[in-house]
Amino acid sequence: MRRSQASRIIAGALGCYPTRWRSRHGDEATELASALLEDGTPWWSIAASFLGGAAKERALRKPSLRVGSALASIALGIAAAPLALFASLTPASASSTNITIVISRPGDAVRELESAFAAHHFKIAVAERPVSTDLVGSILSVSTVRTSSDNAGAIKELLGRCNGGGSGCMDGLVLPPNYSGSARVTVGVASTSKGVYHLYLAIVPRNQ
Amino acid sequence: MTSRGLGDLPDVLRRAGDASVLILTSLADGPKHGYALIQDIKSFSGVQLGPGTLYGALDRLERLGLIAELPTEDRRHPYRVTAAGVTALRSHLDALERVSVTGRLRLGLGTV
Repeated sequence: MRRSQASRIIAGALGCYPTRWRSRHGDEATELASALLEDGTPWWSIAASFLGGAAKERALRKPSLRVGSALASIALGIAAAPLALFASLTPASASSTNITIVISRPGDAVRELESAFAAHHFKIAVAERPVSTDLVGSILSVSTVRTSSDNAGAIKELLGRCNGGGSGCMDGLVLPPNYSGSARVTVGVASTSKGVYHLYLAIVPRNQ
Repeated sequence: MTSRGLGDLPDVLRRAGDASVLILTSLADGPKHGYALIQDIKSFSGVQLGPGTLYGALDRLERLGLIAELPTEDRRHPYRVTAAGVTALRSHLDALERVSVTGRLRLGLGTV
């Protein structure tokens, strides 16, 4: 399991908590999950713990919906896990990660990334895709256009905040300083037509 | 059955779960945030709390007034044990000790 894929699955599990819980604990829980992953805690153990916690939290908040709500949480989490897995197009990194680029202005993410890539002489194009407000400024995918064996899977996504304060969005990248491959990063931008945006979902066959 | 500790204090932790007792024990020597709690509890008990279990227990303890949240540091929320939390932990440990002593005596192991 690659780190970015594990992060997406864990973010999916965190998404099963009620909004009020996420607004209070979401950021810290995301950071805690990253630290546990770094320590070698299995991703499935972290995700399962959050799913169980989410089911209990929902049951606690709405006792009248105890069974249905808890089951819905678990079902949502189970459904989200493979989607999160397949939505990740980023290979794992085998290189050291020295350069961290974090999007600080979601509304200007495209220009911000282009400037950062140019400053480091990276051949990485930035594409944009209209999305819902919370995904504006989030990295939707990273696809390698051409790469040497040294650079294969060298770009890692960073799990961080969503536009508006939620957690579970990719808001940055980590690359080795000597990255020489070509890649394309797709970033969420505000829809120009009110209420019209793409529901972003990538489904990749298992054998890829 | 009602469990009572020294001074006839009610053992409010009796039904709070092992995670709550472990968290209160960890906080007994100073405030900690989530990750530090998990690491500390693992070091003194060998139990690795899952993050979902941890946050559930923290919320429960806070509702009971046994811990309190301190001002956020970066994204982290440190917690401290309250006076009520200290009392509850002492009462619970006393109750556990009585069970431990009785069990050891009945097994012929004597007392520590």
